[in-house]
Amino acid sequence: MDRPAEDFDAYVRARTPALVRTAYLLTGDQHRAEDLVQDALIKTYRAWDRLQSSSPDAYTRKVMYHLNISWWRRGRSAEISTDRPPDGARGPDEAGQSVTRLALRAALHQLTPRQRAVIVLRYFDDVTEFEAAETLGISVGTVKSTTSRALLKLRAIAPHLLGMEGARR
Amino acid sequence: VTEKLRAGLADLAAQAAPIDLHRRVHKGARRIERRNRALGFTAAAVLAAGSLAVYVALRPTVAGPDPSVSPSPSVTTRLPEVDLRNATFTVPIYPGPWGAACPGGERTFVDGMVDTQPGSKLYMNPTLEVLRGDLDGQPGDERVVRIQCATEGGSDDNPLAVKVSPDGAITTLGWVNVDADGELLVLDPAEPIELAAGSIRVFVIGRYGDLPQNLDKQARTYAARNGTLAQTAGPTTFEQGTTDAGAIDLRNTTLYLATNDGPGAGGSVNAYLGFVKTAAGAGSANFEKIVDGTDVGSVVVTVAVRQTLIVRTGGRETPVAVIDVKPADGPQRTVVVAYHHDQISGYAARDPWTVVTSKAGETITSVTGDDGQLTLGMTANGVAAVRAFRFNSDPAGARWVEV
Repeated sequence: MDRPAEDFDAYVRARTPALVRTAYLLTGDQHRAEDLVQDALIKTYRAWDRLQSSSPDAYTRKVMYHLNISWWRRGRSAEISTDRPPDGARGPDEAGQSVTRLALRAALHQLTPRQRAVIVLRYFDDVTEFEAAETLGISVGTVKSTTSRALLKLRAIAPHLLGMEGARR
Repeated sequence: VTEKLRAGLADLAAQAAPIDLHRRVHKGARRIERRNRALGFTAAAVLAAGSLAVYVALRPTVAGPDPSVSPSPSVTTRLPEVDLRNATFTVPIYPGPWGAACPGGERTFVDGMVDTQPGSKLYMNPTLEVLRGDLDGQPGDERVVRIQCATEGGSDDNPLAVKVSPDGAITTLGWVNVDADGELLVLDPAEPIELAAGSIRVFVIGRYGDLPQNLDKQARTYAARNGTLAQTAGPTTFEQGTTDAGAIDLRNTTLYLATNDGPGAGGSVNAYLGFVKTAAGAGSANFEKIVDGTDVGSVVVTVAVRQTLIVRTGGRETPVAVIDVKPADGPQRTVVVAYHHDQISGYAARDPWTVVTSKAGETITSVTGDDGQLTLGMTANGVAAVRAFRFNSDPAGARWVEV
């Protein structure tokens, strides 16, 4: 039996806030986060009937993570060749934000999309390594190695974010 | 250690403003449904009708079926529905440098994935649609599915063509974007892959192993012959680049360019970017449209190289082009692009930098280059002005800056 459209509407209303929070960590920007979630939900809507026996949330998140990596690949050329320095980590309303928050956002911006995705999946979404591998379409071993390198990089960029002040690699 | 990271992520994520996307999602879904209906109605209707006779009648005549073969009862059989994301078929060795991670062999995909070895898998991105049509003029139909070799430094989503016979059997025709040597050809990401008229057309920009020196955008067309893909139209070789900037003719080459149409939300970019091949200074191509840093789809862009000149940057000659850029969905603007040499290979004009893009009401009237500086004569809302730009080669922030 097809899931009625009302179910999808209820799903969107219930899950959008959480999805936008995850997307915000992935993109570092409110508008891009909204667009990312919107596009992922559109794809979920189109697959809604097929998702009746599985988790729509897992599907939406999987689409969202993959869309974000795709966007980064396509968008970085524009950032490189523009005459304005890429400054996606800065915005006009951030002067009053905490130093830690700014530092974390900037540090995440330094990671590759896959590294950022693994960090968000493991330490924000709190999924297992197996679930992260399923979401990203990579092996558990790759999740482990990507996480390890991402944490090393975060420690190098901003050791205070991980309580590693004074630590040396 | 990670508890501090968890707390930091939760704190940062809480900065995202709550929003109701319900209306936007429904509006976007309806837009896609309308687009798909417009693009796919004819083929879908014919295939859904299940009449192979009608399908063959409407199919292009290129490489049509052997006329000596009489129609059999099976011609009215409904073509099988096959879910390639959950099917078993042979995937040839992955082209490019991914052959070791994704060797050839029969693979059983489950939900679009199959492990090839520890740490590597073949992966069908669920956001990319499977193309369906005819490539061989025989009963059954062909599908083109995008498959990635997901490993460290994974590949792009390259297209693989397979044939689905009337009995549901899947046979592999081969990777689409490889040349006669088996070398991977890099697809232009802004150009659609089109499966129509009995063949598949892709736009490629060079051989993977030879870029950036052989950057040369081309359309190549393939069809199935004797159970394998063969090129049926388009060039078979790429133009070779040069290290001599003086030999570069920006009016007759493949240009990679990006407009800079001002900052978007959160410091992101608004732009059109893409590859276009010029002939006598003119060209047209699909470009990626970037709005607020997000790729929102491809747009046909027409370009005209109005002027070329040379300016010295970092002790080397750098070709510069003044290009009128007219997107199909917006007004014309003029961009000044400096084509620097590739830092690694040394090939000339392989590293484009957008110096400036005219804004609404602005006209670039002249461009001169001297002593590492570009000087632009402009009018802005009827008022004449002179602007000068110099390349800042600081590795930490290399860019053209206004002086």
